[in-house]
Amino acid sequence: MNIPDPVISFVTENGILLEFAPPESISVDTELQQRLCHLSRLLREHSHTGPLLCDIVTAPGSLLLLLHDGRTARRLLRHSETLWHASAQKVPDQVTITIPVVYGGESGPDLEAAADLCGLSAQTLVEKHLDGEYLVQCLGFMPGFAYLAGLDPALHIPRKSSPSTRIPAGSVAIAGSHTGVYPSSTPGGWHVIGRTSLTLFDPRAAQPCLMQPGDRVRFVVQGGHLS
Amino acid sequence: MMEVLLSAPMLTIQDNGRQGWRHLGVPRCGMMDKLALCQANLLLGNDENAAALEITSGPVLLKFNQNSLIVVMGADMQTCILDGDQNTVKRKNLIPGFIYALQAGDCLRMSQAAQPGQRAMLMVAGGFDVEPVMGSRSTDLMNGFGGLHGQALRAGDKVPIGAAPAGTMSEAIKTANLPHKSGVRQHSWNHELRIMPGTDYSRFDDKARKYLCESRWTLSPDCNRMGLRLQGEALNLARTPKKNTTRHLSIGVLPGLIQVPPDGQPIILAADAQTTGGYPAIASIISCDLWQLAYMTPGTRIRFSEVSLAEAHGLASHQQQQIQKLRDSLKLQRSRS
Repeated sequence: MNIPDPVISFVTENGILLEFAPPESISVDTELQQRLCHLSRLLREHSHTGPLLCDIVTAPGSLLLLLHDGRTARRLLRHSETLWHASAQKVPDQVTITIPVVYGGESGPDLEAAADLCGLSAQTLVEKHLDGEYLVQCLGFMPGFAYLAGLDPALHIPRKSSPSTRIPAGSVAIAGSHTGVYPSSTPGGWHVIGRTSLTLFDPRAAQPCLMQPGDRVRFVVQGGHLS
Repeated sequence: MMEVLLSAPMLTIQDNGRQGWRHLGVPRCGMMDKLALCQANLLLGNDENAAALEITSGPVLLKFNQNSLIVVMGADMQTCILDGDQNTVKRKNLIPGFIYALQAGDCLRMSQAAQPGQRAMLMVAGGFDVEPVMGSRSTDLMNGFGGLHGQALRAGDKVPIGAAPAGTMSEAIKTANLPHKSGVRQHSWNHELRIMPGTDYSRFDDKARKYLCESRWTLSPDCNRMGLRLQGEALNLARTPKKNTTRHLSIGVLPGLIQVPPDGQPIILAADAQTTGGYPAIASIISCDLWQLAYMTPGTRIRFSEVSLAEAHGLASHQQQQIQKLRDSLKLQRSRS
């Protein structure tokens, strides 16, 4: 795949935005996003670039690089270019995370309504959700909330017209071209189709988030079969 | 240890904030006036990332169960030192930016700021020693971790105080309740924020780009540690028949960014802002002016002025030099005494 050079802009004097996909686009190619996640890891771990950076935010089709001192931007960008080319050669080790889910009923109060919107039976919606192999495109919205790309186009439905006031932690939901799991209880506008008992975010753990940008995710039925 | 006898909304423990976790969706948080935090820590000889109290409203009553050195900064809240049974005022109207000594049992009372909502800060020698979470003691109110129990402080809360830096305490206690001869200057705010055009600047129409710096903006009642909403003439995206100027993809965002939602009324992102956002970003406040957000309250009239990237870098390094000067002169003073 041919990936064009990024559009580079200063967001603030210490923040550089690298945009690899035009902001007007609706979705981002999986291969591109995987390379972005890889680049972000290389930048954080490389001895030439890591010390210059205080944060990197991965987003769909873009990276925001936050520098300790904006005046090192030129140096950082030079190294980034080298690492970007390197990221095309080396295939990163991908972690696959399996998430057990109880679908429907109290765990997935919006399952039936979401199935109606898709014009499918609840059973078919769940099967299509289980069939998907997802990529953690980025994290955002709240700590540990992963935007998972790779949802079957038959399940692409708009957000709910009025958001739920409280979605419990562990809720598995769909909206637009994404699926995701709510790490903590929050108001939200996605359709909740199931729930997992896994902890997605624990600020006191050595690795606070179950999912990292670039990881692969699969859903399985908790207990092994659909009721 | 310090005990909260009387609390007011948004009394939180904050340090410099969380860094290095934004890729996981974790906000920075931290003191709104980080410049004052840095000055107070230097003055007390603390670790430069020691945690202090951010006071948003009053009255607040705090009891110190150990001899402590304190500095108040920010908006003047007519802070006074009371004795243990709160009958006698030992000292009125503490001057921001000077060290005062408290004896075990003393209480500190902070009233409302002249302009309610403007923040004050209380730093103690040794810092407030709650357990760091993800590398910071800052309270993340939205996500419920950090600080004392992931929440604003309530009456009855007991906050541990770290060990005071060596050599500062004994000498100061002798001059109890007298301000030390040296202090730091609380920067005065003028509600003029210097900005740099942002990623989506060119997507806005000519009128919007002109209006951004030429007009005054009023802060709406919708202001908190996550963001400050402004009111004024609507800023619109340029309408070109061929090109779609709407931003569909979210991008990484950070405190200081000025986002414009479809209603055209800008939002300044503040310390607790989330990590990604989908609204176009017209500009950003340069880092050395961010501390002023701590003193902007609903109704405040503000003005933006544009600087270039080179100017922004220059201004940031000037501020760093000022801090370095303070660091050096305090070091010199300590070595002499």
